[in-house]
Amino acid sequence: MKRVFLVITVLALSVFGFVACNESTTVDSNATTTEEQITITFWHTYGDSEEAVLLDTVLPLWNAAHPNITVNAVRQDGSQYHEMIVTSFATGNGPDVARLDISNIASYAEQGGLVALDTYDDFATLAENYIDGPLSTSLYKGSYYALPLDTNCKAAVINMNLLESELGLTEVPATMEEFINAAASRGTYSLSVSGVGDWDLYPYFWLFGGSLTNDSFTQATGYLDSQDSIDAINEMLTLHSQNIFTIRDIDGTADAWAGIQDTFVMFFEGPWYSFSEDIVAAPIPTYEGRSASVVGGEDVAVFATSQYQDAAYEFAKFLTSEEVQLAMLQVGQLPILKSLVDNETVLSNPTWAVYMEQLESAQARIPSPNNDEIKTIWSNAMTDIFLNGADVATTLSNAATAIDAELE
Amino acid sequence: MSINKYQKFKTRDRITQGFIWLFLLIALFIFSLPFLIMIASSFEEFSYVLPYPPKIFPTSLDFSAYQYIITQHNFLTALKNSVINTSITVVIAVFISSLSAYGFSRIEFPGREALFAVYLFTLMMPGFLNIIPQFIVLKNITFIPGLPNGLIGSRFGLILIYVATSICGNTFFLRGFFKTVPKALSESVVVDGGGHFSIFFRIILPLSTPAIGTMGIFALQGFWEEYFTAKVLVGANENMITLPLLLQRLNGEHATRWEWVFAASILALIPVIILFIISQKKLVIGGLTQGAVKE
Amino acid sequence: MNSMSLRKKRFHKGLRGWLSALPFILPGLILVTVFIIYPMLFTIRISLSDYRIVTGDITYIGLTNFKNVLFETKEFWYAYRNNFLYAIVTVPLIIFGGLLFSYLVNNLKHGQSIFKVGFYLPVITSWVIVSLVFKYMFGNSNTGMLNYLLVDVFHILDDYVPWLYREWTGNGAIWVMGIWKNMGWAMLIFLAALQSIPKDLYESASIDGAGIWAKFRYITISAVKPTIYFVMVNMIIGSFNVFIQVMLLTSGNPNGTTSVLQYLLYNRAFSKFEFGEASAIGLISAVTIILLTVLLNKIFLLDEKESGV
Repeated sequence: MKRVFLVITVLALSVFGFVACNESTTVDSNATTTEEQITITFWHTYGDSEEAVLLDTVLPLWNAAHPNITVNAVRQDGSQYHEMIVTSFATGNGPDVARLDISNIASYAEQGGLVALDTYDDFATLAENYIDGPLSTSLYKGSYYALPLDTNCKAAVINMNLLESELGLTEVPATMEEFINAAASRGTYSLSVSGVGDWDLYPYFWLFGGSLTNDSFTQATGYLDSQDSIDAINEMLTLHSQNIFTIRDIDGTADAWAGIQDTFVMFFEGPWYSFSEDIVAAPIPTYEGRSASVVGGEDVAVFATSQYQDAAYEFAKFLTSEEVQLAMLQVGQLPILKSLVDNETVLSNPTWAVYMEQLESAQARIPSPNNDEIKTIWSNAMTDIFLNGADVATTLSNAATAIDAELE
Repeated sequence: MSINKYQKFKTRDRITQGFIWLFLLIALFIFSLPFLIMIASSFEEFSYVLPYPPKIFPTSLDFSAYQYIITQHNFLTALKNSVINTSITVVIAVFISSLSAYGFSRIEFPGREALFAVYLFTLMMPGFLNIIPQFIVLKNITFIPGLPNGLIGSRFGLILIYVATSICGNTFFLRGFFKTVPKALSESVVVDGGGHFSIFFRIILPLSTPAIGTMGIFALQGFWEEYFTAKVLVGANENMITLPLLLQRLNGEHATRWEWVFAASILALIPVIILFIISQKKLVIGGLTQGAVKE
Repeated sequence: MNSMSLRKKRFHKGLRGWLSALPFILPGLILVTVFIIYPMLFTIRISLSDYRIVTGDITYIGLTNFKNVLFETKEFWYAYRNNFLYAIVTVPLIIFGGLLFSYLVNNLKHGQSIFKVGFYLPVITSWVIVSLVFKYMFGNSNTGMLNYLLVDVFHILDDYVPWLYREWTGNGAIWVMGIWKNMGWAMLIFLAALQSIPKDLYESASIDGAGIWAKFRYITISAVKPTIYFVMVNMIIGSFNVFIQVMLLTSGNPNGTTSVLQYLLYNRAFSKFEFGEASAIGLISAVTIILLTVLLNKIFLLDEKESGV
């Protein structure tokens, strides 16, 4: 028995040793840094097709122009990305540069995790190339902490067959009033949204005339609890009670992606929806002449823990160059350059054209380091109203006060 | 016992057996529903939305999802890493835990109960928050030859954390078993002039193989599916990718191809099932001390 | 003089004890100290501090984190309540089911392995996968298996139920999944205990004419009592570690009424950067489990030898 144990121990140890030795070659490529040759790490959450373009087109371009800076692109999975970033802040083992959701920039900047990029001399000239909306997403306390990388917003996704057979409309309605009239007598939900979160309900809230804060995002009281906002929510409640508008998480109705196939006529979604011949993108119909949508997208930011911040910044700039933006457009990443708004490639694709047009009326969510708290306040209020039947005016007024506290 | 009575006894026994079988079969079917759904769905192709109507039994045998998973360029790497990490971890964890459990169950030393209470306490603290200090410690372990940059991104570091996190629970589990081994048995070894190591290797370990094996299986499945620690410690090193990490990637940025996820899950499950089927006969058969008592 | 030498003797005996124990406990002790106990001390420190993760600054702020967690919002109390409910609902059912199935399986003459493997399958399947499947089963509208069966196939209900978006059906789904996932484990443990009961005990009982129920009650239950305690303690600890199914099934919706402590903790730490409050939640959870374990030990009146604790 003792001998068996000895054998096992020796085996275990040798395996350990083997593994340890094996590892040493792969661990940390930064260690081999010489004066010239450096490696920076880039984190992203691209899917298969986007990653392919990144690896096959974008990085070779980069390598040709910057032979001394190798970019190690690490694909992270979307579901735990935020947690990975937060953990990397604490451990100091983060990337040099990363593609980040626009709604997280302010909170990362507040934690001190990102480098303010407007300290670079060329930032001012660079910034003029970017469309204002996407650029503004990286602004926190007067400094820019990222470059815009790609943008998107929600547009209407419409099942043309159901539009005709169920609502009797042969063309995409230009106004919401038209859509509502046609859907009113149908008796079942025609318009669907997933939940009560900011990304889900803001477009409707804005479309029906509501507003969250003042223009500088410093105050919610007087806006979120204004009569216009109350009316907007009431309009949504009316549509809900008339069986026109359904919220999946409140009513337990089908997922929009599934429901659009056979039940729902319209829902709002980003450009990543798998459009087909019958299910097409269209601008969100206007209400009282007003259009609305919510801005999404990603920025690229340099991490404060990076040893090679200049190289990382260089790479971030490269990702926003026209060449790269056009390459990534091929896989549906909408560009953030002013020069590409009227680009033929964009306009010749009907879906992209719709989204580029919709972007003009799309609004940003409140940029705040406390965006997570604000999100929670909003969705709790909406759950109270839509699920528990809470009084609209009181609920909104409480929510406005709570958001004010987060905006201080 | 008359033959007649014996016959009656046997028939009654058969009927009972039949009922038990029937009851267990029905229960097993209900228990298996989620698996049936998983298997049926993995054969479908339903880009991003789940099939309607829901299926319990597959209507076709379309293996394209499986093919997609297996042909992922890093599938074999992930499989290899998962197998290596899990097996090394289990062997080391089980061995160290057995040693500890012996120490805590058979050797009297001052402060034993207090120390064991600390072990128990750690079981009750949520482990999430440990990751940051653990990471920093690993980063600072730079004295190991061949790993001058600390243990981040290395298999060694990951295994170290896995082993460490499983010791307290395993020690708790095994200590209970070791205590059931009659003291009288070890006294015979002591009479022969053997020390604690002799008792451990000659009495306790052989008698506890079922328990240790059971615990090994429990530990194994935890490491096999572990995601968060692996992600934080070796996630940046593509060569170190494990199956759970690969699986998470199948969740798209905006939507999920369910058939891929389910196919990958089933593939990841197969090795564990096989291992369990092989070992289950040996696991807890005959009890722990029964054989010893009869001797 | 005498007491001095006695103390010295005791010291020597203690030293000898340590020396002989050290080879056994040292490897584990080092790992546990470095990777578990040290991080936990760190957690305890953080729970009393304002911790800035990027700079690593730790400012001592007393019990503020605990105060914030306990009294600022209702979130904590919903989560705390749900952990208790989870334990109260699932633990007895897991123990009962585990005992029942292990007893039946143990009495089978043929095919024990089929059921052993079959019931154990949920245990070896990853929580993430299982949660995805359950999300599908409890899904909305007719795409959810349960809704489809209840409304479209058997016509038991008239309307689809949004299972995962209501307080009690959401909690119910979490419980069902917990029971389903853990019963096989309990069964396997009980099976081990049952198989260590000497066979002749049953045989003589059978000859005496004892039925299956009588044997179960008088032989089985009394023999597995310590095992029941073991399973119970494990499951209660497990009840306070419920996490993945909450995150993936309900995310605490609606408005935190299906949340649990671990989910709250995770959310505080990683979404809101409130590591101090997260640590405080962790400590509250740990203390609760300890109190419960001690209390149960008292109720079960097990002596130290029996319980193995």
